[in-house]
Amino acid sequence: MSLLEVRNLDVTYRSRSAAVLAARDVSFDVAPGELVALVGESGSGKSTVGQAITGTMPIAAAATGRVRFGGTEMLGLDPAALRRSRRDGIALMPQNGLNALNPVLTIEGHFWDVLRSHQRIRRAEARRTAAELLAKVGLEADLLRRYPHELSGGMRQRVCLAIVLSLRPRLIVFDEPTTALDVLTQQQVMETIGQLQASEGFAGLLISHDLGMALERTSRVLIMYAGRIVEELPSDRVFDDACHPYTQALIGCYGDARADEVALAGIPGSPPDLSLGAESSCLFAPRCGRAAERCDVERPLLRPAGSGQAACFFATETLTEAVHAH
Amino acid sequence: MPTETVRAERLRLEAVTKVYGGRGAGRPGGKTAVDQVSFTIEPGTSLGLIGQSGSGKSTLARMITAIDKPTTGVILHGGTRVDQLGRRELRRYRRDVQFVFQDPYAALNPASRIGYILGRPLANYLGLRPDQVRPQVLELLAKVGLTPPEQFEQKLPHQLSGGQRQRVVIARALASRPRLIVADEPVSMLDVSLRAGILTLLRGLRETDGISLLYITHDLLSARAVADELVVLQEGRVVEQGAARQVLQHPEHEYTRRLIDALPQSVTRRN
Repeated sequence: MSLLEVRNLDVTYRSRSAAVLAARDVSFDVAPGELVALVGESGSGKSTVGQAITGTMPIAAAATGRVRFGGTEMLGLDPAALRRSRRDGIALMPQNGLNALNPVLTIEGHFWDVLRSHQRIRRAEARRTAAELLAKVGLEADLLRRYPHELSGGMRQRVCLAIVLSLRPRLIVFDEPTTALDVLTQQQVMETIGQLQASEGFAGLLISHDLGMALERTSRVLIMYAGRIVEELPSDRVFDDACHPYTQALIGCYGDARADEVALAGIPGSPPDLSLGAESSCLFAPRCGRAAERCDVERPLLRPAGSGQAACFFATETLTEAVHAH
Repeated sequence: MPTETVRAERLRLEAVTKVYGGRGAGRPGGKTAVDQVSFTIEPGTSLGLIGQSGSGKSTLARMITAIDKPTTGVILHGGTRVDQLGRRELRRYRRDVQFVFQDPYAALNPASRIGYILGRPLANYLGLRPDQVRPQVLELLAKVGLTPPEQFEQKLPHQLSGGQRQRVVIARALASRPRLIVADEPVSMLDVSLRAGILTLLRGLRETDGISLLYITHDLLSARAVADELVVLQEGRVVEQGAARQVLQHPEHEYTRRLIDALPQSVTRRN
């Protein structure tokens, strides 16, 4: 059974002048203990989906559809119920530790805030718990007296992870957890997340713009473009089996730094305007090398392709086949 | 505009050291951010400066752009001692050496139109009259791939995408007809699909304008795509340097190997 079940999720941002449909008919599941990647570029709707799941949407956003977590409908929960869901349910690990942590509060203060707001706990016990949590993410207990600005970027992300773990969540939404970090620190933080996921057994939704990083420790990946999931497949099959032209183009943006010749490709054009409501065409078609007439008049639905699903009428060729054919 | 090719100069660092804090000779008690760093950027070539956060790469960028002075050591640009510039020479130097910032969202004044942002350095550094500025602004926009330029001239930064903004930042750096561009993580905040375009633009400036490039990053892949030579920094010291391909294919230092091993593997199994 799924721990998280997202069905037909639409999220609209409204302002006085426009309504932007940022997430479009998004459906997916996360099983208990599973780590799933949600990958997309700026404006693809990946963070919007994360916010809808964690109940952290801005006031201007409205969501329809279903987000069921452990059998409870999350959309439209009242604040008290939402609070309860955070006690032993869903946690959000933010992108930037420096922004997410309170600059005038010590690290201990952060743990104290979280622990005492969901249970009756004494200060000394909270301190002990906090020290244990820090140990789990590979940090020393003497960090408790420090302030966020005294820590490095990697340490701050670990602290955030420890705080997130303090309420024993069953699902953690990681929103770009390593984006501001350099490669080695990125690798260490992802290793810590992977180890903890194995030992603590939480499930995770890893939101990232970086396909390369997202594939490293996840079992499945969902690719978003212009508000929709356009492809879903096992993470270790992406390179071989990706058959949506957008996923293939994303792969082309990477390369092997050790190859004899390194030529990076980009994706020409820019993403569509999402303020025009639901579409009746493929939104990637204007940037797609394989687009045909049909793509302009009909919207492709997710259907089995490769080793997962893809929303493309021509999602039959894998990247390897495409390279050989053209 | 810059149809006349700018002749780049050699940039040379000799045993450059920067110590923050501490007092007196040798600055005991200070923190050494950059330790005895030497390298050369030959005219019209590009050098990638690789390192983690805290490796000293941004401190080096500050010294090379004369925002900061080395504690000891020499920085030479052609025949100019960058570490000993007087006020007038500094102005001249700032015209020759321009900076491309990491964050294209923070580097542009949100209240200024693109035409104005690009027009200021043209008036300031090249002394152009108001009627001479506009054609050059349009030429700069076209040069960085913002076409048709008339469409971008009147826009405000928030009306542009991240990639377009970074192109404006590069156009602004080009306005003074620099000989060297120092780019500090210019693509790290951009979507991967936009990076290649910016990197190709930066690399192309060597061929079209003969501008040298110092490319600062922690990302080996983009460094390889842009740079001829690599310098790997660890805790303020150079641990490895050489031709980019050589360094990546046959790293000699253990730290370089660790950086290479940290590259995501799953999207690069091409070979």
